[in-house]
Amino acid sequence: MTTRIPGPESVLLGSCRRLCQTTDHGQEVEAARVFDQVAALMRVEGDIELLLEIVEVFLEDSPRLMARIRTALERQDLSLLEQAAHTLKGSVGNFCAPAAYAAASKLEKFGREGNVTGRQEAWNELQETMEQLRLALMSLRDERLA
Amino acid sequence: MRILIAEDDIVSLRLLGSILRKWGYDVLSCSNGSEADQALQGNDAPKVAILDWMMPGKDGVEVCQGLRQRPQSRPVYVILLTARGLTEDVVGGLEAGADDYMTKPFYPEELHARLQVGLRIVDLQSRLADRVGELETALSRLKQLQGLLPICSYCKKVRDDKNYWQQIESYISEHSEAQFSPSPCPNCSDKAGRTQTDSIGPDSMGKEEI
Repeated sequence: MTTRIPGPESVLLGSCRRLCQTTDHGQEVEAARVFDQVAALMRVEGDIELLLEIVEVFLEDSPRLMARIRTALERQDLSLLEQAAHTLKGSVGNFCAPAAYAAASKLEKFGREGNVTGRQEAWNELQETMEQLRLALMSLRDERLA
Repeated sequence: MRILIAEDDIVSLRLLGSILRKWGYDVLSCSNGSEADQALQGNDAPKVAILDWMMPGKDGVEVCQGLRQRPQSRPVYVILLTARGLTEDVVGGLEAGADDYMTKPFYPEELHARLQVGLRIVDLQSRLADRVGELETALSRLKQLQGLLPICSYCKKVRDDKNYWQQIESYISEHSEAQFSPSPCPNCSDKAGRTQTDSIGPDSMGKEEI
Protein backbone atom coordinates (compact mmCIF):
# COMPACT_ATOMS: atom_id res chain seq x y z
CA MET A 1 0.00 0.00 0.00
CA THR A 2 2.74 2.42 0.91
CA THR A 3 5.40 1.24 -1.51
CA ARG A 4 7.27 4.23 -2.79
CA ILE A 5 7.87 4.64 -6.47
CA PRO A 6 11.42 5.92 -6.97
CA GLY A 7 11.70 8.94 -9.23
CA PRO A 8 13.60 8.69 -12.51
CA GLU A 9 17.19 9.26 -11.53
CA SER A 10 18.05 10.18 -15.10
CA VAL A 11 16.01 13.36 -14.76
CA LEU A 12 17.96 14.39 -11.69
CA LEU A 13 21.27 13.51 -13.33
CA GLY A 14 20.35 15.47 -16.46
CA SER A 15 19.57 18.53 -14.40
CA CYS A 16 22.81 18.17 -12.47
CA ARG A 17 24.77 17.89 -15.72
CA ARG A 18 23.12 20.99 -17.16
CA LEU A 19 24.03 22.96 -14.06
CA CYS A 20 27.59 21.63 -14.07
CA GLN A 21 27.97 22.66 -17.71
CA THR A 22 27.25 26.26 -16.80
CA THR A 23 30.57 28.02 -17.19
CA ASP A 24 29.77 31.18 -15.26
CA HIS A 25 29.56 30.30 -11.55
CA GLY A 26 27.87 33.62 -10.76
CA GLN A 27 25.10 32.95 -13.28
CA GLU A 28 24.63 29.50 -11.85
CA VAL A 29 24.22 30.82 -8.32
CA GLU A 30 21.89 33.56 -9.52
CA ALA A 31 19.77 31.05 -11.46
CA ALA A 32 19.50 28.84 -8.38
CA ARG A 33 18.25 31.82 -6.36
CA VAL A 34 15.43 32.28 -8.87
CA PHE A 35 14.60 28.59 -9.32
CA ASP A 36 16.71 25.65 -8.15
CA GLN A 37 15.56 22.92 -10.49
CA VAL A 38 17.64 20.14 -8.92
CA ALA A 39 16.32 20.92 -5.45
CA ALA A 40 12.76 21.25 -6.82
CA LEU A 41 13.02 17.80 -8.39
CA MET A 42 14.11 16.36 -5.06
CA ARG A 43 10.91 17.75 -3.54
CA VAL A 44 8.87 15.71 -6.02
CA GLU A 45 10.93 12.51 -5.79
CA GLY A 46 12.51 13.24 -9.18
CA ASP A 47 9.13 13.09 -10.91
CA ILE A 48 9.43 15.69 -13.70
CA GLU A 49 5.81 15.16 -14.77
CA LEU A 50 4.61 16.03 -11.30
CA LEU A 51 6.88 19.07 -11.23
CA LEU A 52 5.43 20.26 -14.55
CA GLU A 53 1.91 19.61 -13.25
CA ILE A 54 2.43 21.94 -10.30
CA VAL A 55 4.26 24.46 -12.51
CA GLU A 56 1.06 24.75 -14.58
CA VAL A 57 -1.06 25.22 -11.46
CA PHE A 58 1.36 27.83 -10.15
CA LEU A 59 1.50 29.80 -13.42
CA GLU A 60 -2.28 29.91 -13.41
CA ASP A 61 -2.81 30.69 -9.72
CA SER A 62 0.09 33.00 -8.80
CA PRO A 63 -1.41 36.15 -10.44
CA ARG A 64 -4.43 35.73 -8.14
CA LEU A 65 -2.17 35.50 -5.08
CA MET A 66 -0.21 38.57 -6.19
CA ALA A 67 -3.46 40.48 -6.71
CA ARG A 68 -4.53 39.62 -3.14
CA ILE A 69 -1.26 41.00 -1.79
CA ARG A 70 -1.65 44.18 -3.85
CA THR A 71 -5.23 44.62 -2.57
CA ALA A 72 -4.05 44.10 1.02
CA LEU A 73 -1.34 46.75 0.55
CA GLU A 74 -3.77 49.21 -1.04
CA ARG A 75 -6.31 48.73 1.75
CA GLN A 76 -3.59 48.56 4.38
CA ASP A 77 -5.24 45.36 5.57
CA LEU A 78 -2.46 43.81 7.65
CA SER A 79 -4.26 40.57 8.38
CA LEU A 80 -4.97 39.96 4.68
CA LEU A 81 -1.38 40.92 3.83
CA GLU A 82 0.00 38.38 6.28
CA GLN A 83 -2.36 35.65 5.07
CA ALA A 84 -1.86 36.31 1.33
CA ALA A 85 1.93 36.65 1.56
CA HIS A 86 2.09 33.49 3.68
CA THR A 87 0.12 31.52 1.10
CA LEU A 88 2.36 32.77 -1.71
CA LYS A 89 5.45 31.93 0.35
CA GLY A 90 4.19 28.37 0.77
CA SER A 91 3.47 28.14 -2.93
CA VAL A 92 6.88 29.34 -4.17
CA GLY A 93 8.58 27.22 -1.53
CA ASN A 94 7.61 24.14 -3.56
CA PHE A 95 9.86 25.34 -6.39
CA CYS A 96 12.93 26.03 -4.27
CA ALA A 97 12.92 29.68 -5.27
CA PRO A 98 14.80 31.42 -2.42
CA ALA A 99 14.59 34.96 -3.84
CA ALA A 100 10.79 35.00 -4.24
CA TYR A 101 10.42 33.09 -0.96
CA ALA A 102 12.44 35.71 0.92
CA ALA A 103 10.47 38.58 -0.68
CA ALA A 104 7.13 36.97 0.24
CA SER A 105 8.41 36.30 3.79
CA LYS A 106 9.30 39.95 4.15
CA LEU A 107 5.77 41.06 3.25
CA GLU A 108 4.28 38.43 5.54
CA LYS A 109 6.37 39.86 8.37
CA PHE A 110 5.19 43.37 7.53
CA GLY A 111 1.62 42.13 7.81
CA ARG A 112 2.26 40.37 11.12
CA GLU A 113 4.24 43.15 12.77
CA GLY A 114 2.45 46.12 11.22
CA ASN A 115 5.60 47.91 9.99
CA VAL A 116 4.94 50.63 7.45
CA THR A 117 8.40 51.58 6.26
CA GLY A 118 9.86 49.55 3.43
CA ARG A 119 6.60 47.95 2.33
CA GLN A 120 6.73 49.46 -1.15
CA GLU A 121 10.31 48.27 -1.65
CA ALA A 122 9.34 44.80 -0.48
CA TRP A 123 6.40 44.74 -2.90
CA ASN A 124 8.70 45.82 -5.77
CA GLU A 125 11.14 43.11 -4.82
CA LEU A 126 8.36 40.52 -4.76
CA GLN A 127 7.10 41.58 -8.18
CA GLU A 128 10.59 41.36 -9.65
CA THR A 129 11.47 37.97 -8.15
CA MET A 130 8.07 36.53 -9.03
CA GLU A 131 8.47 37.60 -12.63
CA GLN A 132 11.90 35.95 -12.76
CA LEU A 133 10.44 32.77 -11.27
CA ARG A 134 7.53 32.71 -13.69
CA LEU A 135 9.94 33.12 -16.64
CA ALA A 136 12.16 30.32 -15.36
CA LEU A 137 9.18 28.00 -14.90
CA MET A 138 7.75 28.83 -18.32
CA SER A 139 11.14 28.12 -19.80
CA LEU A 140 11.22 24.70 -18.12
CA ARG A 141 7.72 23.92 -19.37
CA ASP A 142 8.50 25.05 -22.92
CA GLU A 143 11.76 23.07 -22.91
CA ARG A 144 9.83 19.91 -22.05
CA LEU A 145 7.15 20.59 -24.63
CA ALA A 146 9.70 21.21 -27.42
CA MET B 1 -5.94 4.02 4.16
CA ARG B 2 -7.62 7.39 3.66
CA ILE B 3 -5.77 10.60 4.51
CA LEU B 4 -7.34 14.02 4.80
CA ILE B 5 -5.27 16.96 3.61
CA ALA B 6 -6.20 20.59 4.18
CA GLU B 7 -4.33 23.39 2.46
CA ASP B 8 -5.43 26.73 1.01
CA ASP B 9 -2.59 27.00 -1.50
CA ILE B 10 -3.66 24.96 -4.49
CA VAL B 11 -0.08 24.28 -5.65
CA SER B 12 0.82 22.71 -2.29
CA LEU B 13 -2.53 20.89 -2.18
CA ARG B 14 -1.96 19.38 -5.63
CA LEU B 15 1.64 18.43 -4.82
CA LEU B 16 0.81 16.80 -1.49
CA GLY B 17 -2.22 14.99 -2.92
CA SER B 18 -0.26 13.64 -5.90
CA ILE B 19 2.60 12.37 -3.74
CA LEU B 20 0.24 10.64 -1.30
CA ARG B 21 -1.69 9.02 -4.16
CA LYS B 22 1.60 7.80 -5.65
CA TRP B 23 2.30 6.11 -2.32
CA GLY B 24 -1.06 4.34 -2.54
CA TYR B 25 -3.21 6.39 -0.18
CA ASP B 26 -6.77 7.47 -0.78
CA VAL B 27 -6.76 11.27 -0.41
CA LEU B 28 -9.55 13.55 0.75
CA SER B 29 -8.60 17.14 -0.18
CA CYS B 30 -9.95 20.21 1.61
CA SER B 31 -9.12 23.79 0.64
CA ASN B 32 -9.86 25.32 4.05
CA GLY B 33 -10.05 24.47 7.73
CA SER B 34 -13.84 24.54 8.06
CA GLU B 35 -14.19 21.94 5.31
CA ALA B 36 -11.59 19.77 7.05
CA ASP B 37 -13.31 20.17 10.41
CA GLN B 38 -16.59 19.01 8.89
CA ALA B 39 -14.99 16.02 7.16
CA LEU B 40 -13.31 14.90 10.40
CA GLN B 41 -16.63 14.69 12.23
CA GLY B 42 -18.26 11.96 10.14
CA ASN B 43 -18.45 8.31 11.14
CA ASP B 44 -16.12 7.32 8.32
CA ALA B 45 -13.67 10.18 8.95
CA PRO B 46 -10.07 9.50 7.92
CA LYS B 47 -7.78 8.40 10.74
CA VAL B 48 -4.89 10.55 9.54
CA ALA B 49 -4.99 14.26 8.72
CA ILE B 50 -2.29 16.56 7.36
CA LEU B 51 -3.27 20.15 8.07
CA ASP B 52 -1.82 23.47 7.06
CA TRP B 53 -1.78 26.00 9.89
CA MET B 54 -2.79 29.27 8.24
CA MET B 55 -5.98 28.83 6.26
CA PRO B 56 -9.08 30.96 5.73
CA GLY B 57 -11.98 30.19 8.06
CA LYS B 58 -10.77 27.78 10.72
CA ASP B 59 -7.01 27.39 10.79
CA GLY B 60 -5.22 24.08 11.30
CA VAL B 61 -4.67 24.68 15.00
CA GLU B 62 -8.37 25.40 15.57
CA VAL B 63 -9.30 22.21 13.71
CA CYS B 64 -6.88 20.33 15.97
CA GLN B 65 -8.29 21.87 19.15
CA GLY B 66 -11.83 21.04 18.02
CA LEU B 67 -10.83 17.42 17.43
CA ARG B 68 -9.29 17.03 20.88
CA GLN B 69 -12.21 18.73 22.63
CA ARG B 70 -14.74 16.25 21.25
CA PRO B 71 -14.47 13.38 23.74
CA GLN B 72 -16.52 10.95 21.69
CA SER B 73 -14.65 11.52 18.46
CA ARG B 74 -12.50 8.71 17.07
CA PRO B 75 -8.78 9.34 17.47
CA VAL B 76 -7.30 11.08 14.44
CA TYR B 77 -3.53 11.34 13.96
CA VAL B 78 -2.78 14.93 12.99
CA ILE B 79 0.36 16.24 11.29
CA LEU B 80 0.61 20.01 11.08
CA LEU B 81 2.43 20.87 7.85
CA THR B 82 3.16 24.58 7.82
CA ALA B 83 5.60 27.24 6.70
CA ARG B 84 5.65 28.55 10.30
CA GLY B 85 8.89 27.20 11.62
CA LEU B 86 9.63 29.12 14.82
CA THR B 87 10.10 27.11 18.00
CA GLU B 88 7.10 28.84 19.57
CA ASP B 89 5.00 27.77 16.55
CA VAL B 90 6.06 24.14 16.92
CA VAL B 91 5.30 24.21 20.65
CA GLY B 92 1.96 25.95 20.05
CA GLY B 93 0.96 23.46 17.37
CA LEU B 94 1.78 20.42 19.48
CA GLU B 95 0.09 21.91 22.54
CA ALA B 96 -3.04 22.48 20.46
CA GLY B 97 -3.24 18.72 19.97
CA ALA B 98 -1.20 17.95 16.85
CA ASP B 99 0.65 14.63 16.99
CA ASP B 100 3.46 15.78 14.74
CA TYR B 101 4.77 18.96 13.15
CA MET B 102 6.55 19.50 9.85
CA THR B 103 7.70 22.65 8.15
CA LYS B 104 7.15 23.51 4.49
CA PRO B 105 8.58 23.05 1.97
CA PHE B 106 8.85 19.40 2.90
CA TYR B 107 11.00 16.55 1.69
CA PRO B 108 8.82 13.61 0.59
CA GLU B 109 11.03 11.02 2.30
CA GLU B 110 10.66 12.81 5.62
CA LEU B 111 6.88 12.99 5.24
CA HIS B 112 6.84 9.31 4.31
CA ALA B 113 8.80 8.35 7.42
CA ARG B 114 6.60 10.47 9.68
CA LEU B 115 3.47 9.00 8.10
CA GLN B 116 4.73 5.52 8.94
CA VAL B 117 5.02 6.59 12.58
CA GLY B 118 1.46 7.93 12.40
CA LEU B 119 0.15 4.71 10.89
CA ARG B 120 1.81 2.67 13.64
CA ILE B 121 0.09 4.84 16.25
CA VAL B 122 -3.26 4.57 14.44
CA ASP B 123 -2.89 0.79 14.28
CA LEU B 124 -2.00 0.58 17.98
CA GLN B 125 -4.95 2.81 18.91
CA SER B 126 -7.28 0.73 16.80
CA ARG B 127 -6.10 -2.56 18.34
CA LEU B 128 -6.28 -1.04 21.81
CA ALA B 129 -9.85 0.13 21.17
CA ASP B 130 -10.79 -3.41 20.04
CA ARG B 131 -9.28 -4.92 23.19
CA VAL B 132 -11.03 -2.39 25.42
CA GLY B 133 -14.31 -3.23 23.67
CA GLU B 134 -13.78 -6.95 24.27
CA LEU B 135 -12.89 -6.36 27.93
CA GLU B 136 -15.94 -4.15 28.44
CA THR B 137 -18.17 -6.85 26.99
CA ALA B 138 -16.59 -9.50 29.22
CA LEU B 139 -16.93 -7.23 32.23
CA SER B 140 -20.63 -6.66 31.58
CA ARG B 141 -21.14 -10.45 31.46
CA LEU B 142 -19.28 -10.89 34.73
CA LYS B 143 -21.42 -8.24 36.36
CA GLN B 144 -24.54 -10.12 35.28
CA LEU B 145 -23.45 -13.04 37.44
CA GLN B 146 -23.05 -10.90 40.51
CA GLY B 147 -25.68 -10.17 43.14
CA LEU B 148 -28.37 -12.17 44.98
CA LEU B 149 -30.17 -14.84 42.98
CA PRO B 150 -33.44 -16.30 44.32
CA ILE B 151 -33.19 -20.09 44.07
CA CYS B 152 -35.85 -22.72 44.74
CA SER B 153 -34.70 -24.97 47.58
CA TYR B 154 -36.47 -27.97 46.03
CA CYS B 155 -35.98 -27.92 42.29
CA LYS B 156 -32.98 -25.54 42.32
CA LYS B 157 -34.43 -23.27 39.62
CA VAL B 158 -33.37 -19.65 39.84
CA ARG B 159 -35.46 -16.56 39.26
CA ASP B 160 -34.06 -14.06 36.77
CA ASP B 161 -34.63 -10.30 36.69
CA LYS B 162 -37.72 -10.82 34.51
CA ASN B 163 -39.34 -12.91 37.23
CA TYR B 164 -38.90 -16.05 35.19
CA TRP B 165 -37.83 -19.30 36.83
CA GLN B 166 -35.35 -21.31 34.89
CA GLN B 167 -32.86 -24.13 35.34
CA ILE B 168 -29.65 -22.92 36.94
CA GLU B 169 -27.51 -24.33 34.15
CA SER B 170 -29.43 -22.50 31.45
CA TYR B 171 -29.24 -19.28 33.50
CA ILE B 172 -25.45 -19.52 33.84
CA SER B 173 -25.05 -20.39 30.17
CA GLU B 174 -27.01 -17.29 29.18
CA HIS B 175 -25.02 -14.98 31.45
CA SER B 176 -21.51 -16.26 30.86
CA GLU B 177 -19.34 -18.13 28.41
CA ALA B 178 -19.79 -21.35 30.46
CA GLN B 179 -21.34 -24.38 28.76
CA PHE B 180 -22.65 -27.51 30.51
CA SER B 181 -21.78 -31.02 29.53
CA PRO B 182 -24.19 -33.46 31.30
CA SER B 183 -22.54 -36.43 32.99
CA PRO B 184 -23.24 -38.03 36.44
CA CYS B 185 -20.85 -37.55 39.34
CA PRO B 186 -19.56 -40.76 41.04
CA ASN B 187 -22.15 -40.58 43.89
CA CYS B 188 -25.08 -40.09 41.56
CA SER B 189 -23.68 -42.70 39.26
CA ASP B 190 -23.62 -45.20 42.18
CA LYS B 191 -27.13 -44.21 43.26
CA ALA B 192 -28.45 -44.54 39.75
CA GLY B 193 -26.80 -47.95 39.46
CA ARG B 194 -28.36 -49.11 42.71
CA THR B 195 -31.82 -47.87 41.74
CA GLN B 196 -31.58 -49.68 38.45
CA THR B 197 -30.47 -52.86 40.13
CA ASP B 198 -33.31 -52.54 42.68
CA SER B 199 -35.88 -52.12 39.97
CA ILE B 200 -34.78 -55.39 38.34
CA GLY B 201 -34.04 -57.15 41.70
CA PRO B 202 -35.28 -60.63 42.89
CA ASP B 203 -38.61 -59.27 44.17
CA SER B 204 -39.63 -57.65 40.97
CA MET B 205 -38.33 -60.56 38.98
CA GLY B 206 -40.33 -62.88 41.21
CA LYS B 207 -43.46 -60.79 40.71
CA GLU B 208 -42.96 -60.89 36.96
CA GLU B 209 -42.67 -64.62 37.06
CA ILE B 210 -45.82 -64.88 39.20
